[in-house]
Amino acid sequence: MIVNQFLVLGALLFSIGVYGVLVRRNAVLVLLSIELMLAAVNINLVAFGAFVDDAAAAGQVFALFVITVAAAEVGIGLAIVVLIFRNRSSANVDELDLMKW
Amino acid sequence: MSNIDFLALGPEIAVTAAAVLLLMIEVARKPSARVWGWIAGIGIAAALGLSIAGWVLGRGTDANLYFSDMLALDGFSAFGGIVVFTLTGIGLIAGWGLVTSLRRRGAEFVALVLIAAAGMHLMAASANLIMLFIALEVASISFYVLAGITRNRAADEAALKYFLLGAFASAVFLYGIALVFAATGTLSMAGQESFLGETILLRPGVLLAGIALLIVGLGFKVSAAPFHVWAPDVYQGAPSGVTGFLAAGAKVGGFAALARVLTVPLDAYLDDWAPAVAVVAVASVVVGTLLAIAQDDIKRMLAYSSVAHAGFILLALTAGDAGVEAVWFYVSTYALQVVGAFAVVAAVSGPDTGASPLDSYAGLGKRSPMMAAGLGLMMIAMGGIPMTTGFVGKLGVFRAAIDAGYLWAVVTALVATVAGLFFYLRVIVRMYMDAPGGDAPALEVGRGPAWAVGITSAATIVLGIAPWPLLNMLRDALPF
Amino acid sequence: METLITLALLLPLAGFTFLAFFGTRLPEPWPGVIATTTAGLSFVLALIAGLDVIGGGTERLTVTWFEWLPALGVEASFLYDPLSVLMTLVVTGVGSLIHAYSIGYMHGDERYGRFFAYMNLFLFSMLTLVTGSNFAVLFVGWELVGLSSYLLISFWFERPTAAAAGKKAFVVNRIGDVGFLVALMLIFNTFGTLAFDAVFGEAPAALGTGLATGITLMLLLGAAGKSAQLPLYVWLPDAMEGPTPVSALIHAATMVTAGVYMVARTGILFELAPVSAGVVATVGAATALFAATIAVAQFDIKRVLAYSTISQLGYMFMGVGAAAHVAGVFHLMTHAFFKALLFLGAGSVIHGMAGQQDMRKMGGLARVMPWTFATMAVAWLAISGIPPFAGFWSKDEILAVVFGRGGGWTVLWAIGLFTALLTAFYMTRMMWMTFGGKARWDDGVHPHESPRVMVVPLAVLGVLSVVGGLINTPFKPTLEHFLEPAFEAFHVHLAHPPEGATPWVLAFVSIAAGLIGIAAATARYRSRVPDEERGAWKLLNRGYYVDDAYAAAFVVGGGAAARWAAASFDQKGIDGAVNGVARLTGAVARRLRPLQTGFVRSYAVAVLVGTVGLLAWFMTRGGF
Repeated sequence: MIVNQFLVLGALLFSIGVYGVLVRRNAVLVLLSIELMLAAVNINLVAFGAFVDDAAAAGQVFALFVITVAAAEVGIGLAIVVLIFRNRSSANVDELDLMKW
Repeated sequence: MSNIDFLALGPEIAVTAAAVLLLMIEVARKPSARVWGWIAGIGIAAALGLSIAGWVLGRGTDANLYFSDMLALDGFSAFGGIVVFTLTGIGLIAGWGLVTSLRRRGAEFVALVLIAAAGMHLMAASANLIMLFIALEVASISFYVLAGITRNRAADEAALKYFLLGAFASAVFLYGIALVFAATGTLSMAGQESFLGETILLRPGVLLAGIALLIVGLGFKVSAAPFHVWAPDVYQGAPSGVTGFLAAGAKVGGFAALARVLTVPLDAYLDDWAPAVAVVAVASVVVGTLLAIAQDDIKRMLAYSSVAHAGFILLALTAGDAGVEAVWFYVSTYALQVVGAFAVVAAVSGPDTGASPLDSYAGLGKRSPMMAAGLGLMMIAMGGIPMTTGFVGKLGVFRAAIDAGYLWAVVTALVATVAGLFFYLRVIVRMYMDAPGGDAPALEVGRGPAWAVGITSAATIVLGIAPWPLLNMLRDALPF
Repeated sequence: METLITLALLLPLAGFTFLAFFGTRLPEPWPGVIATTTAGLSFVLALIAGLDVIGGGTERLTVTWFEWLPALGVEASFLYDPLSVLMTLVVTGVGSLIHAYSIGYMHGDERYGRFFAYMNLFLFSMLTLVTGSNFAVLFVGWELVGLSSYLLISFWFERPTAAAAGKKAFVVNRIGDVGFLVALMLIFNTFGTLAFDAVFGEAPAALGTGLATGITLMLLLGAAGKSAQLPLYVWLPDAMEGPTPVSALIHAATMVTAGVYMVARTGILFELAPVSAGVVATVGAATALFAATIAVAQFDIKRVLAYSTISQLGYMFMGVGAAAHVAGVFHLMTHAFFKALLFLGAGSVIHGMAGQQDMRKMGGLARVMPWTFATMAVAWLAISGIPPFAGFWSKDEILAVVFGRGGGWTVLWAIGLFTALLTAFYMTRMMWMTFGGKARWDDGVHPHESPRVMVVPLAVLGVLSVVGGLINTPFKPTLEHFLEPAFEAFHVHLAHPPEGATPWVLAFVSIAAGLIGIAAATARYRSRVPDEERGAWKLLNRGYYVDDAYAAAFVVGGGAAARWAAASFDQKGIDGAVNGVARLTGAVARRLRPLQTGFVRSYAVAVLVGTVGLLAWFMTRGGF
């Protein structure tokens, strides 16, 4: 089995996610980009899991765990974004510079 | 070896049960804060007792693995539990003012602290990278919420910055796990250790890239430069009553995980990762020290100082498993110093506010001699002056790094130590040699911070003068 | 005996602890009495414990409290050999006198109790330093001494100059401490232990010349910081901002000798590194001459004595550098007596003149302050090297040993001799300007003799300054016999003065130098105060502008980094090298702060850059 195409896909998606984190100003979109990074890793994990042919299917199991954790993370993240929006009527991360230096 | 032993999971069960019970009672009966305190106290005490039991049984032997190699019960995890739960107890006492000021939401706060403690202990006990990732997320997600618990403008900013960067670093960490998994074919640390011990990888690139990303993820948790950027803003924005717990907890959990990951499965690649760790360590020490000098908010100053301390601790890791003892000694005593220092900050600036400018410490020696003495002692200890744990800890990490052949890193760190005294002593000068601004009345200190400062001060001095009980305990506790 | 040593060590600590907690609540003079009692008791106990050693019954006692850092093989243990005994007795003896004198001097100060707490802390630190039996304990004492010295210099922190002086002393000492710490690391790296016995025992076999030179040069850096030698002497003159003359005494008689003690204690290491030993002696000689020339042009009576202290410490360094450890330590002891006396006398004068320190505003005080004058005259003769006063014997022995080494050492001897002449000159100048001639007092100043509690310590020290030198004369070298075992135990080969007629000739030459200096100064200052505020005098008075040069060097010559930071630099306020360093660091730090922009996205960039950096590094270790 050839895994290269999955790995390239994963790496590309991960890079797009990183790019999104760096350039997006809206906190929700930053959050989405981070989700994209996690999804990219999931593709890698499943691909590797199939590749190493582990009886316990550790890669696939781990991917499920990651999805679960990511869901929890999004829940908390959106709650924080909502809090920010309530306090400032904006979810622009560049306006968060109360603390610096 | 898939036997089940609930002692391995005992501490988590104790604190999680306490958290669940607390939330249920809160919904059903709306009890007073005192009841929360009792439930949390019993939960933490039980977890601490179970950790001590684990230490008695598990020290000195090879790691016993349970739940299909998911959890380790050994001296390392048990000692980690002792540190984590002691810290949680003191942190909760120090920040109790925050709990009461949150009114009904105080229950959530206490429950989150308990769950974070469970996550931190799991980080020390994980024997599998899946477990480690979940433990890290349990602790981190609780931390994000705790940082923003007061919902004001400073706290929400701290929470969002912590969250976005933390999730970003987690994704990178996860990528690292995937790469290590690809290179070794297993997620179990024991399995990786034996695989890497027996096999010579012809093309270790995938594994090495994985190691790099693992260091990034955990380096972020312990706020090592250049992954420290979140620390100053989060420390400053988070309510003072919980900052000490956040700061110390992240350090303990992060270093426990880092020490286990680097020295158990990746031990065979010591020559590859140790120089990188040394560079990160030196960068942290230099950046942390330099930037701490320029701060005029004590919480920000402590944040940068914690970056420098992360560097000192990382120095010991360059020695591989020979440095783990020094790591544990430093991180456990430093955690106590941090909790003690932030207890004073919470007493001076109020447990639910963020910023704590250095000016508000002028004349603290007159306003509250005990708090000033406590903070002064913590500053002296963090500066590494003899007769405190800070000195013994620094000696240990320097020795480990010298033995490993990183004399250049140690010399740089020494210079930074000396420069660092400047900003630690500046706090003392402010407290004792400046008059309080305006008409500053005597500071009223609650019993919580007073106890927290008292306990941490006593530990800092006693273990500084007579560190050998802890050192002997650590030697017993580290089988590898 | 061991219990007594423990008690002698712990008493001052107990005094400090008690006074730190209750000192502010006790009325005057109780804190002073308590502190003086603990210091005096400590002296008595140290003396009793030392009797065996002094009497020759035993060569050394060791006291081990507990295993301190087992991983490093370090115990909290103390060594009581002849060298420690002598140092302990000097420290506690002179220390007790300072304590007693301060009861009167600090009268009415609002932080009376705090002051004596610091004094006891200082005493404890100094005792730890001189009795520690390994480098770790020595270092603990070293750091604590630095801390208590800082607290005492900036004791009157309301005065900006005092606060700045404290900071300066602290920072300069840190520079020295870096050297000391690096030396400790090297020693531990080489020997795997920090205990004196093991290190000095193995050193001749295990230590190569190169490494020995490295270690000892680092040690020298530490010693130069604490003992105010070139180029780290700048803090000592400013340290006179501490309570007059109490803190000045610490910075003249006891604490600053720590560096000399340390070099003598580690003598074997310097013996293995002849280059370093030569550097020690050269630094000492250069400092002696350099500081003496500055002292010649000072008008502030305390600054004369401060530069004189630096100069005399230079003599001690010259001695220990020439392996004349006994002579060096001997001069340390006599200097403690007469310099303490000089400072106490100066304090008495300042007290009598209502705070006036400028010698141009004094004159004619011999008549109104007869006791102060008489005792200071003794010290003046002692420091000028006139026999049979204490300074003559010790200074002469150092010079004789240095001369006896021959070769390039003769140059150092000549420098030492010329410094002796200068010393006699500036001390005579000080005596004439203060006590001789006509009164030049400001209006409304009515000088008077000081109270008895201040005069008595003067008299005691006066007696010691006369007879103190007699314990080690060429005719009866008692001290040498006493100290020799301490050095032999650590395999040190002491250098001795030449035999035969040479010492006699040398002694007459140095007496002649002293007399010439006295005569020249008498001729110049007997009847008037010449104008000395122009030309070369101005240069000397400003200490060769070293402070300004340091500041300028760090500010302007600091290269691109300094220029980069210079925008936020206050160019006008260049007021000292140390402030220069501190500000440079501060400015760099301020320049770095904006890196922390406060924007999440740039933080993510930092994390990403670090990640890419780490990845790149690991990729060089093995590609795909």
